[in-house]
Amino acid sequence: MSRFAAAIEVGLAGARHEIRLILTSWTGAAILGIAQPAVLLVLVVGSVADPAPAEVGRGVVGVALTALWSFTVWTGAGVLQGDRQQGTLAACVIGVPDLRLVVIGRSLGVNIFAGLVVAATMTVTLALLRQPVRVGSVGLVTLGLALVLVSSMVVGTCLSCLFLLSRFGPQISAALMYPVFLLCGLLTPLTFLPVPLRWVSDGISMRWGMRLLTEAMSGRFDPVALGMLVGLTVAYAFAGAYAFARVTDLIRREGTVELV
Amino acid sequence: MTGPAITIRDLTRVYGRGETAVTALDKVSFDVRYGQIVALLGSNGAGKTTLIKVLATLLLPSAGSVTVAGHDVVRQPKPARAVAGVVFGGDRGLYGRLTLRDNLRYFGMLAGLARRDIGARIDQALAEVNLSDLAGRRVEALSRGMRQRLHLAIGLIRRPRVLLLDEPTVGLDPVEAERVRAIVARLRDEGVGVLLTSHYLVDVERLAGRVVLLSDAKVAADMAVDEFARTSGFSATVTVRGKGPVPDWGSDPAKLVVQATSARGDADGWEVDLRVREWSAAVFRHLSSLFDGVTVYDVKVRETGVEEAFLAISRRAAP
Repeated sequence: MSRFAAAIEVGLAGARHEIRLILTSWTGAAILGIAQPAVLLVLVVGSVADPAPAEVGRGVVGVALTALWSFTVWTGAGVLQGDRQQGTLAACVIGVPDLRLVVIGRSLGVNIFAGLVVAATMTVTLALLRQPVRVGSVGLVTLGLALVLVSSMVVGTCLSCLFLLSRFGPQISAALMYPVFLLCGLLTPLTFLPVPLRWVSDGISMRWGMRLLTEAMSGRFDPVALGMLVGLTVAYAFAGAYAFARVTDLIRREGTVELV
Repeated sequence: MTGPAITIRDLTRVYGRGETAVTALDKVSFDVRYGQIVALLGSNGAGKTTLIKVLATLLLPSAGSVTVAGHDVVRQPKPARAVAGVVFGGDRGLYGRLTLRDNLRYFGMLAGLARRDIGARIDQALAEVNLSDLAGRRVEALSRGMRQRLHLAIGLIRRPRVLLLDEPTVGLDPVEAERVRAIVARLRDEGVGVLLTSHYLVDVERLAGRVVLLSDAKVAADMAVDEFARTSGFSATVTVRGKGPVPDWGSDPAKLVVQATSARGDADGWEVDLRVREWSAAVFRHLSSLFDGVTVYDVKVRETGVEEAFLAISRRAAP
């Protein structure tokens, strides 16, 4: 078996493992994947002053990305935290396959699950609200959603380094969550941000995902948003791969992971 | 399989830097052969866990060299991981909400097994630890003994040439502990090199061929189990219960009785533990001569075990 095929096999095994874990504990998944988007959608669609399709579409994109990110990034980032709590982290670190592949695979599992659950929840909620949503370009929206999922998987994998380095990973990632949402323009328009801070949002891929999808809902293609989303995701991937290698080396030097 | 299963040479591990630096292992050297169980003993903080972490490639040495099945744990960690099973004791280290089979499937992937091989290996590993009937049950529903056997199955799934066992019988009832010991003994007989740490010294007596004692980060003893037991300075403990005047146990010129420790003394009589250099006819005659005028209720002779040797050496090594 080639190295590439072996890597794919490890990634898929990690994805299957993570989906099995999620399926055994539905509470967390239901809160993040069902309750959160449903409630947000009711609030956002109900509060849209102008029920024009463009405004509703923008609200739906914001809710979808908030739900996806809070599920995928933070759950994906937390897979190693769960392992630390159960005493299985050392086994992952000293596994034969590259730890990065294992974590990417497990994040992929979270993303597949989250994508399906959030999409189903939003479809059902919009149907119950009898709120039509006009999708200007199905192809562009699909592409945008796929890229958003890939980007969130990469960000989640990068963030999981925190859980290898520190026992306070959950607190650190929770503290980062809402500032990131604000900087992406998911909760409030970017014009609400102080001018000196606006450049920060340019460095967050989800800000561009939001723009790409919003435009796609209106049937327009935004090449700048697409380029920035892809470019930033690739940059995160390289930075994450480097950081992961350094962190795994560091924990072997410092002995920060216990055997169980 | 040629060469030692584990080779450790001048292994030193220091945590921290400068004035706060703590030396957890100081120039530790020993080998483990294939088909041999070596017990790693030591008080808490002696360096056992640090050593297991280095062997498991979870921690880098500060100095010295370590090989597992011929693979250097620093330069070749992946091949070393592929041939070494690491087995922990206790309830942690498993995915409680998943079934035994799903746990093994994931740990099999971490062991580097290809997907096409995992199913057969899972069946084999479960059969080896007698858990085949429970393959579809959630781990959280298992007893502690069953979990421990699952830990062993996880260690076995890669068909290890080297096994690192950390407290494999901790918290187990005697029946389950004996089951685990039987599995480990079988692996040894099949040629697996085993390094065992355990505070249950009965594990050491039943399983190990050699003892390495760590004290204050250094190797304080490295010898066969029988030899280790003799390092206490006595080969047997004679417990005598009697009534009447307590004899002068140390009165023999040959100093056959090394030490006498009164355990109890009241109106009903007395009890004393006599440590004797060698349980021999001479000692028997000496003790019999002391029993004149004494009513002796009971005499028990117990061979010196690893535990007594461990305690005696630890007392001598204590600052």
